[in-house]
Amino acid sequence: MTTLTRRGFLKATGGIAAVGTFGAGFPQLALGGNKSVVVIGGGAAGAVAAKRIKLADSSINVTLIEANDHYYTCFMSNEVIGGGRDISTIRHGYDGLASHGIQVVHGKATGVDTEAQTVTTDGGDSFSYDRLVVSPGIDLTWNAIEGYDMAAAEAMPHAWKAGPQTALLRSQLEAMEDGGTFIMCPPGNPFRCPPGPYERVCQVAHYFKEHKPNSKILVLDAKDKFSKMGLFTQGWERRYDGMIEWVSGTDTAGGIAEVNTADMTVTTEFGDTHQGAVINVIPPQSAGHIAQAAGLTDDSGWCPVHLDTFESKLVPGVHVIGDASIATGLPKSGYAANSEGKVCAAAVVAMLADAEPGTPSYVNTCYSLIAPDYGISVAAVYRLAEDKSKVAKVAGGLTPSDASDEMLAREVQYAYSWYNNIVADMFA
Amino acid sequence: MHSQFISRAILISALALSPALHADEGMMASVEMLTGACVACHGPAGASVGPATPSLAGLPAVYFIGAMLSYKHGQDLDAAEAEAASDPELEDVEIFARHGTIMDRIAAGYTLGEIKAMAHYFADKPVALATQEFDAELASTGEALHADNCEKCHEEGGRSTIDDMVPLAGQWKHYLHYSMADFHGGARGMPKKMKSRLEEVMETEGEGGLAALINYYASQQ
Repeated sequence: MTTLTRRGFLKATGGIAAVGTFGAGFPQLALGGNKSVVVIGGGAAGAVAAKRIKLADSSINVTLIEANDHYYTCFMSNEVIGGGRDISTIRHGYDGLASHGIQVVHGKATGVDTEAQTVTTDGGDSFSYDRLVVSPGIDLTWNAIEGYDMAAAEAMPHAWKAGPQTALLRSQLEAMEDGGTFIMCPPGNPFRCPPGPYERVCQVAHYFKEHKPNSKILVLDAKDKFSKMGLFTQGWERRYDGMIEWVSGTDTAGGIAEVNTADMTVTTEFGDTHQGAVINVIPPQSAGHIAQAAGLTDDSGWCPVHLDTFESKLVPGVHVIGDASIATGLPKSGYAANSEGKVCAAAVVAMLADAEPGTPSYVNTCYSLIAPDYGISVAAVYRLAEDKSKVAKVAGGLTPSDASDEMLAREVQYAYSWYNNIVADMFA
Repeated sequence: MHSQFISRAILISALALSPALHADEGMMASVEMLTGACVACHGPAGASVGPATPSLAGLPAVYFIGAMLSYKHGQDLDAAEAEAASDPELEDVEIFARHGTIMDRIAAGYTLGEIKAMAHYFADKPVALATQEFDAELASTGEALHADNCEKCHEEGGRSTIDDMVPLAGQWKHYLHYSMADFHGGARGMPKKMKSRLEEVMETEGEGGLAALINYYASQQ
C-alpha cells in the first residue's frame, strides 16, 4: 500500500482531512463535511466493525489500519497445530473490505493523539478521525514468567497469535519422536479464548494417537477450573484415556514460575520442574500495545468501556472492542468480538449522526473440536443489564453431557460452518 | 442530515412499537442488530457458505417463527403452541418437534417480537442456492422421486416458497441429510401428508431414496 494510492483514493472519494506525509502540523481540511472513522486492527472485532459502519452509512469515511497484509484467525488454528488443517485455510486478506469502500492501510499504528483526534503510523502517516475504534487484540506479557521472552517463544512457542507461531508449534510436534512429552501451560484468567488451551490439548492428543501413540501430554494449569471443563475431561477420558495428565492450579501453586529453554524445562510456582520434548507456554496477556499508548487501559492492563457503545470510559470519542476491552459478562472469544464489533458499529453510526445509540444485543457461540467427529460448544444470548454494569446472559448453555455421537459429529460440521461464515462476515 | 433523519425515524418507529412489548423487555434492538447475531453462523444476509449450517435467506416467516418457537421451548411443544397462539398474526405458524445442537440454547434468548423481526428480515432475502458437490446420478433418481412424492407441495423442484412452503433446493447437503435423518428417526415432526410420503419413499427406496432426494436438491445451484 503506497501513499500515492491512498491519496488517490482520498481524492476520488472527496474524502477525509488527513494527509499524512505532511505530518501532524499540516492544516487539515474537512472536505464535504463527511465524518471519518479510523479503526485500528483488522481482526475478529475490528474488521466487522469497519464493514458494518461502512455498510450502514457509505458517506462515512472508514479507514482500517492493520499491521499485517493477511490475518491468520486464532479460531481453527488449533486444528492446524493438530495437523487436520492447512495453515493457508486460516489466512485471509483485506481485498473484500477494500471493495466496500473501506480504506485499508497496512501499517502499524504507533500513536494516538486524542486531543487532535489523529492516529499516526510507523509509515509516518497521520489520519484524523471523528470517532476512533481500537481493536488491537492482545499483547503477551514477556518476562511475567521468568525467562519467557520473545526469544524463548522461538523455543517454546505460545502460538496464541496465529501465524508463524502456529506453524512453529506444528513443526515441533511433527519433529518430536514418539514417546515424548508435550507440556501445555495455560495462563490464569483473564486471557484470550478460554477453551483454547484445552481444545489444543485435544488436537495434539488426536495427532499423537494417530502418529505417536506412546507420547504423553502434561497440562500445568494456573487455574483450578476452566471453560467447558466437564465436557473436555469427558472427551479426554473417552478418546485419549491415559494420555493426558492435568495438574490443577492448586497443585502448581498458580502456574509456571520459570522456563529454561536450554534444558527444555518449566518450573511451577510450587517448585516442581518438568522436562518436555515440546512445550507450549501461554503467558499472561493484556490489551494490545496501542491501547496502552493511547491511555485506554486501566491498572488491570485491559480497557474499561461503556457496554452499550464500547466507548472508552477513559477517553471519550474512542471505542475499544474485542479481546482488549473489559466487556463484563462476555468471554474473550472470536464470536463475542464479532458481536462487540456490531454493537460498537451501530453506536458509532448513531453517535456520528447525533442520534441515541439503539438497544444492543449480544451473542456468543464457541465450538471446540475434541476429535474429527466430536465437537462441543457453548452458546449464549445476552442483553445489557438495566444498570449497564454488565452484559447479562439471558439464555444459553453447553452441549449436553449425554449428547449422542451423532449430535457430537454434527457439531463438528456446524463448527466448520461457523468458521466459514464468520470469516465471510468479517472479510467478504 | 439525511442519515440523522433516518436514524430518528427508526428511533420513533421503535418507540411506537415498544408499548406492545412486555414491560421488562425494554426497547427492542434494531433488526440489523438482532440478525447480526445470526449471520456469523448462517452467512451474510442469511446465505450460508456452508458446509452444514442452513441458509435462512428466503425462508417463509411462518416457517422461521415455528422453528424458533420450537427450539425456544425445547420439548415443550404446548408452550411453543401457546406462544404462537398469543399473537393473532401467527395463526399459520405450525409447531413441530425439533432436535437442535445449539439452536435450542440460543432461541430461548429471544422474545416473540424479536423472532418475528428476524423472520421478516430473512424472508425478504432471495433464496440462496448453495454451490456444492453432488452425485449427478443420484440427483437424477432424486428428481423422479421428488416429482412423484414431493412436488405437489414443494413446487418448482423444491424451489418454491409459495404458500409459505420451505425451499429445499439449494440448501446445504449436510443439513438436508440431518433433517431427513431426524424426520425419519422421529426427532423432528412433520405434517401428516409429508409423513406418509416419506414412509412410502423409505419403503420402496430405503436410505438410498433419501440420498437421491438430497442430491437432487443440492444439484440446484
